[in-house]
Amino acid sequence: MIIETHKLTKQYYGSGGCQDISLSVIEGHIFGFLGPNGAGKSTFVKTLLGLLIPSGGEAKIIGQSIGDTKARKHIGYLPELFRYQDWLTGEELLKYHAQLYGLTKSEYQIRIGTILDLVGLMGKERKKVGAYSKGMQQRIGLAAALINNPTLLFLDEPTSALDPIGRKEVRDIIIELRNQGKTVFLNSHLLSEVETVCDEIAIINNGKLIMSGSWREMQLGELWLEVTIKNLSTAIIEKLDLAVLKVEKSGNDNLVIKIAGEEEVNKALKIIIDNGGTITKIETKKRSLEELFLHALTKGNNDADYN
Amino acid sequence: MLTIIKYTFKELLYKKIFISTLLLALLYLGLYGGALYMVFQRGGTPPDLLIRASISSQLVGAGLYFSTFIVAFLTVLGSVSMVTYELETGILYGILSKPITRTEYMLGKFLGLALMLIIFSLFLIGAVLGLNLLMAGEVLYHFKLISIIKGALIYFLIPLTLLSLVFYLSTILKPLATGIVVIMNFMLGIIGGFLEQIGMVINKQELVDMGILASLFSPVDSIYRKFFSFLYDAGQSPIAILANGPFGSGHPPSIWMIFYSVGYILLFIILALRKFNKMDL
Repeated sequence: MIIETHKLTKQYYGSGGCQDISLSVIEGHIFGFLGPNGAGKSTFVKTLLGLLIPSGGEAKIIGQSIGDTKARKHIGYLPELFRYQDWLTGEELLKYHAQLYGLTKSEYQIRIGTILDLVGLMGKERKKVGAYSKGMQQRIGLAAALINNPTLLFLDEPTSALDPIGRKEVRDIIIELRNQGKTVFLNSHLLSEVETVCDEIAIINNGKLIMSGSWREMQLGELWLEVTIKNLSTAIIEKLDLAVLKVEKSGNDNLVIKIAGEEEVNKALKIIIDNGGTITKIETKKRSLEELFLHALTKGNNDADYN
Repeated sequence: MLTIIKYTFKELLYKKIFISTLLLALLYLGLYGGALYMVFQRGGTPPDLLIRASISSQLVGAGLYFSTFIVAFLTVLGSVSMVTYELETGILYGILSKPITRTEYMLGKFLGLALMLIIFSLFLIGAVLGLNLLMAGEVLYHFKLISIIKGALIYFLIPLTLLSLVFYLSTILKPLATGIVVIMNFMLGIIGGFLEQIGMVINKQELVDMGILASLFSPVDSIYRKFFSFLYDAGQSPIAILANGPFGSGHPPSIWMIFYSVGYILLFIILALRKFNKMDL
């Protein structure tokens, strides 16, 4: 595990922040950390990075305790509410950050060119950071976070100031980093962003971890079938009710059926046919992250449905 | 830490406060040089060499004394928001998530600023003495190079004293409050220094004690007086009496005051580091 926390807590004067967060992040994965505004996401990340002093619990990053500077040599971080030295040019800023990582001139000179190209700022590196647009500032922030070729990258709302094209580019960068074996801890409230790229997710609300796990497994765990049936009878509904997770009538000849997984599709359809129904249309729907997220928030700690 | 020192130094150069202070310092030196020209080059000063030498030493004292104000204001205004600005704008997140400790960051900032202030102080001391050499010529006290070096080393404690106080207060107060407190502290030291000198002249121990007490809170004036006494080789030279006067060192503080000032600087640096290391950023 590249990140392991055990009951990590950071509270301000006994309230707020994040409480008893225990989670693990597998190396080489993209980990989505979700939660509404003010849930404690940034507090958790800042505590992991030693920017906030923990109130309790333990955590290890790349095998080192939090606050240990050795691990930070391999960590990149794009803060949420960040600003950089606006009196420096983009190139000077990257040099500064490279030097803070202890990179030699020969190391960072090559790296700066590659990174500027990657974040789409090539040709604008001699402009003062203060003259950059919001989107450009976010890009230079991402470049500064990547300058040391990190093993573990923390991105706190990395696309908040970007247009749709910029968002897509950042998503592509994140996926490319995973392909290179890097771990990305993505802190975001943009669910579509997380849904597209993440391997694992965790949801936090009011400072507490509500659920965490593999996003793929969560998606596979449940399936919704929307079936249009000729001759829909009460018997079909009653039989299905006993066999599946949930069944709801929608209109005169439609049923919305919740099943435990793909393997139960045939079982549900067989019940319909065996009880005299004629299927005219079937649609399957996997659970979206938005549904999962909203459900998790409304149900609070009751995550039995998902794990 | 070297990276922080380098970029702090660079940042101060970019700041308008440094450019403004430098321009004001040049204006001040222009005025001061003009005054020296009027006194020594335009005639009308008493022909007596000793009186002329005495006038010269008073003008050297005044020039250096008011240079201290410029150094002090640059110290306070140039450093007061250096750490808090980076903290409030979130610049620190990007820096302290790198493999450097908070102690290295703070010491880097301190040393970067200190280096700039030392260079600026040297420039002002050099400019004031140079203008006097140019204008007063033969009546100017013959400063020994070693005395200037020893004096300058003492003088550097003035910006460092104020800087250490700014650093500590920056960890507990807002920039404006820090600036006000440190400027008031500086003024307290100046007033205390005058009280002490007046007390010595009129032999009033209460005034001397008040001055000493003020020096404990703000040793800047004591450091200045000690610097001046080193410059004029007070106690060794038979004509050291020239160093007397409101801006001089008729009654310089003991060398223990210098040790106290070094301790003062270290204490506030340690307090600043302790506080900063425990802070939530």
